[in-house]
Amino acid sequence: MTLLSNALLGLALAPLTLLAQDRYMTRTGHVDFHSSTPIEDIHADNDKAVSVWDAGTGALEISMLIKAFTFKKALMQEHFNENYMESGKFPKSNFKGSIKGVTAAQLAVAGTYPVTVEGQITIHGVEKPVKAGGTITVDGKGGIRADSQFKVKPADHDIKIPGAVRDNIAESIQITVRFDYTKMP
Amino acid sequence: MKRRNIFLIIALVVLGGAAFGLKECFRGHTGVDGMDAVHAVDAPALLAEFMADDAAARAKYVGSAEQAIQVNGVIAAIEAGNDSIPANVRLETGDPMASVACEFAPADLPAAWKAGDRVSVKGICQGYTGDGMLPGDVVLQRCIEAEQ
Repeated sequence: MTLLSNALLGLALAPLTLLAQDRYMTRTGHVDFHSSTPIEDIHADNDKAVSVWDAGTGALEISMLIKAFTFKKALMQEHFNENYMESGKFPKSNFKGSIKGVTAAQLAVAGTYPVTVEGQITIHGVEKPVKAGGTITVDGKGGIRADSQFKVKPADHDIKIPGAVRDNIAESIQITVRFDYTKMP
Repeated sequence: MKRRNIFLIIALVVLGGAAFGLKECFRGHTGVDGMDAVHAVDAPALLAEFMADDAAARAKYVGSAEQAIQVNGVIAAIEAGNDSIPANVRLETGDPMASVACEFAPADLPAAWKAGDRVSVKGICQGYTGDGMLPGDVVLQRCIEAEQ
């Protein structure tokens, strides 16, 4: 009876085990944004994005705290949080979608694979579709790195820029993503 | 003479305003060492509060104006930083998929700290990174060692 119970339990858990084998995560994902105009460059970094990627299905989820973006200038960071991103009201930004162009089997072979990332990005509480190119790099020692760059328009996410500083902030902001994934236990 | 004084006063006000504006524009972040911790909490309890009610925990620990909190806990891991990436001290929470992640400027990270040490950290709490089914961490930035 015990053997039968164990066998049934094993069968029941098998799909979960298989699922976990292809899942990768990071809790120190790097996301930065850069705005460049003739008047000034604005740059901020966030090294605390979390992400889970299921290489079997391609499903990808990312979440980050808006307040975790750091600027060199304190005043810029305050304006970013209070006036533009309203981080008290919209504390997180997230992405739900998928990575296409690489299979779980390819992750066993070192190399750089071009991929397409596609899904819905939520910034300032406004969800928009996004599609970007990127790469998955397998280093052969179990390390998997994902890189991507894409542009976001503040206006698309209902982020209002006051007229006085409109020329200081680019119409399209360059977003750079770099995630070093490790296999989930 | 009277007109000259008025011009002088206007010039001083304009110069003073410009100096204040420039200083404000290039102002760096306030050092946490000069801030009193408004809350002191153990790492597992801090995570538990965010998991139970994210909005309430944000109101308490993140607040509407920048504030420092003190977190006490046992170091699970230390991830070294460099010139562009801050060092990261992870405090145990009892959940292997979550920690209190404390960002230190590499120069502020006590050299003697190692995994297993019981420490106290003072920093700016920015919230919990997890979302729905995504696991995450409670993030503290600009951290320094606090007195236990």
